[in-house]
Amino acid sequence: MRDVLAAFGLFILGYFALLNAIYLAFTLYAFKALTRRLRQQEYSPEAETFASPFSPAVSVILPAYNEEAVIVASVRSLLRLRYPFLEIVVVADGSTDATVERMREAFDLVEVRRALRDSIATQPVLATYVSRRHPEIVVIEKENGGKADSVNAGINAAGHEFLCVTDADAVLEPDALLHVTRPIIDDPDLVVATGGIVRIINGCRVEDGEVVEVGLPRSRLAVFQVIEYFRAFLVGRVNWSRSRSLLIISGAFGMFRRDVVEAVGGWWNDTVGEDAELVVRIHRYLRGRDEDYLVEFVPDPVCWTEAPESFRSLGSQRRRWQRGLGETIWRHKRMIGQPRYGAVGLLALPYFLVFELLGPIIELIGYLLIPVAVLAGALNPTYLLVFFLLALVLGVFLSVASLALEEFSFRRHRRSREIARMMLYTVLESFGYRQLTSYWRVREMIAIAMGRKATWQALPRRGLGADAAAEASE
Amino acid sequence: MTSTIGVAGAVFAAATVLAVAVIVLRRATLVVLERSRLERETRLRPLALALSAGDEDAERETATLARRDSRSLAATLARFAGSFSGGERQQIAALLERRGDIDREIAELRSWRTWRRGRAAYLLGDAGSAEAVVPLLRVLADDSDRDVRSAAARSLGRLGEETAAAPLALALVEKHVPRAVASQALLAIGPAALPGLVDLKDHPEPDVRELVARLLGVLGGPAEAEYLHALVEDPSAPVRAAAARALGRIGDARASAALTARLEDRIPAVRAAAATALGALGDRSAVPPLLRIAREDDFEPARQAARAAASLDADSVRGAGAEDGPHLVEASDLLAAGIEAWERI
Amino acid sequence: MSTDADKRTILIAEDEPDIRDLVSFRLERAGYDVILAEDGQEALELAIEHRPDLAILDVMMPRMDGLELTRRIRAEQTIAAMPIILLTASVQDQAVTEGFRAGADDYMRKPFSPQELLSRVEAVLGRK
Repeated sequence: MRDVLAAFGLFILGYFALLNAIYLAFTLYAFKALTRRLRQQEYSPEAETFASPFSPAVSVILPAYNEEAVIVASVRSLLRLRYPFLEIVVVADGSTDATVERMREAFDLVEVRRALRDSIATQPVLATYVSRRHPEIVVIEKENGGKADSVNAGINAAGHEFLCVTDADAVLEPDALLHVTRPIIDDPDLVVATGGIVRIINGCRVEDGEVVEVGLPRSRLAVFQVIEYFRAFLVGRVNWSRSRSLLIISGAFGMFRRDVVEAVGGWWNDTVGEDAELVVRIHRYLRGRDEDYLVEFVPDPVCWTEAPESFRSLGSQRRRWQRGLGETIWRHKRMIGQPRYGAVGLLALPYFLVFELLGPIIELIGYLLIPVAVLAGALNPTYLLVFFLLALVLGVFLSVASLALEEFSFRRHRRSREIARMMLYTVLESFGYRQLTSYWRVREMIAIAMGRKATWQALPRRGLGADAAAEASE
Repeated sequence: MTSTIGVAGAVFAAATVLAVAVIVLRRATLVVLERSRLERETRLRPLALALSAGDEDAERETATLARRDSRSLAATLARFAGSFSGGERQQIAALLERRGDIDREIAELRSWRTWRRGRAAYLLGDAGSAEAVVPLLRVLADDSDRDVRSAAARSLGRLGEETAAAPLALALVEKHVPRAVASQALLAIGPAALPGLVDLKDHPEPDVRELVARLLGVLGGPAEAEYLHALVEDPSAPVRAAAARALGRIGDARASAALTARLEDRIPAVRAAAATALGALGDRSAVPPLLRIAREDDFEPARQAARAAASLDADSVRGAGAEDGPHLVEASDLLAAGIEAWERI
Repeated sequence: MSTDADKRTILIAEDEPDIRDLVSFRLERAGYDVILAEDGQEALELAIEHRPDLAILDVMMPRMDGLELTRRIRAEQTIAAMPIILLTASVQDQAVTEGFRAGADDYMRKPFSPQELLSRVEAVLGRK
């Protein structure tokens, strides 16, 4: 018994050491990458270069299921994107509300029988419209089939070579498209997908579909998530992208080359983690054919999304993420450890399997076994205390470092009081928040193991920005 | 064991405290710096505006400025020069030369700090002084940092310097600077860049030939069409497609036959490009083959052909029915709705 | 040059502070009254309120671009006849045609020549 416990203790220690070593290395590199990017912006020819005739034409796909409250404002914010050539494909996914009606009123839609590709099978399309006022707006009305199915219908209708998939409740940065197309213009043959930094909008002031002032949310749960996003985007994705194994491009705003998405069969409908699954499938397809390609993360902010503020909705979000991750890894389990899939098979997938998918379970077992081990005399209480302190300090350090990354790069939070508040939260997050998210994730793992289907409700939308004002003025 | 962990904990605790201190200090200094920068810019702005209009009294005033003020003024003036065209830009450039700002920035190009070199390279492009051309060309060829080279490339474009065309094209071919930056700079130089580009039309890399075709399409005129006629028969499909589009853009009437022949190309993307180009060319004799492609071909060529036919001869498309295929139906619906959203080239 | 009695008012809508200041500085020197707006929405409100004699509008602006703003001005009874000059960055080829279609009277490319802008302003005002 004591030996087993001691062995497990060693295992936990090794696990902990490896995970934090990875985090530390990632943080170091992220510092290099982001400060460089910052300096670069002072003298980068970005704005003038990228509004050029060489910019690829982009079809923006906006799936919308019952979005009558926000659809017009969302489309209007897409029209405001600084980009020379774009088309907007709104896919009304069997909406039972006035989504299409609102669009018709705002943009003077006429029915035009649009030629649709049949590259990806979707629910039947009922009607297609074009705006007379902005001929670059196309609306596809189809039978309900879910988000992935809508995106696929949008791909079939898209006229251009590059697709930007976004979300009706994402608030976009005006330069978002310029940012995510930058790698494509640099290497049009190699880059197949790009994504950027997603941030949390709670607490920010939004005017006319644009974030005009960045602020911290009042909700404690949301502040924890702000810090979490800093870690995930500023530290995590920068590194995965560098090692050519970026697995997630956020569904809120991502760019893809159409022929590649078509070749892999489009978005997968039967998962709740369609964003990651598609990117992994793209890796699998292209690596499997030994093709040279890039999936790139651009360290520039591109869009803002709403974070859940109640335990209930946060819980369902985390459970949904966990299930999505599980489904993706399960579907692509054969890639794990296979050298032919490069860093995706050897680094990224194993990392996500061990530390993201199984991590919470290991953590929970640790919490349960510690008292047993102490009682059995296999664990020295002093040692335990020191270990916990180290874990705490490391957690705080990594979070503070990600705050510092933000400070040295984008510095979007102007008020110093907010930075102080976030620093405090880097300590608080180890007492409850982290355990809570692990708990939800474990719960979902158990539900999956017992063969239960997904059971959460959707995040209620509050409708962002001053939609009413924008609508009244059109 | 315990003590190792304890030491590690102490190290990270210290690191955390350090990180916090760095954040606080940085905030504080940035606030101060920002404030003084803002104050300086606001104070100097009227002077800069007066100088931008060639005010001589204002120029006498600048002689007594403190060094920092003087540099800030130079940066603002360079930006102003970048907003102006022609003689008024030259006037500011001459002023910056007289004040010694140009010489100072040229010296900065040799700084050991990357960001200083980059900043100087960028500023010199706006400032518009021809004295910067040779030093910028040296940076483009030799600087160790890709971003600095990019800034130099952009600046050479902003200066409209035709002797930079060949070095820019070379930098582009050798991937010394991002393709986008180099091609934008070449575009900014304008038709003066054409000879340098034409030299590359037989480059062994298809990528380069494709780029040449595209740039010839944007910058060139009927004189460049002859090179495009050769490129439209290139062994590489992307080159053929780019050359086809470029011929459409230039609007070379003699290209009609060559482009119609490309409607039979083996590669769908080339057929699509040829169709788009024929639509832009305005030669109605292309309508029958376009209609055939629109009815029978793969999605992309058919789509482009239907749109091209609609823009050349609306009557040939109007009232299309199911037997004409989805693309002509779509084009006909668009015409009926009064929407003329034909493809850009 | 105009006298104080017939001082004409010009609205400038431009989000880049440099261009905004450079244009307004020259116009004021030439004896015009100038109203400044930083985005399309603000410009529309100011146009309705002050009914300037001419508007110089940037095409790429936040909250409402210059083309949309032109359309709105043309649709607004009290100011529908206001002469409009658009400012476009040289890369936006299509903006010029679209601008004329939206109802603009003239356009000016950026980078620009202040002298030329002044003559265009005079010409457009003279045409009225």
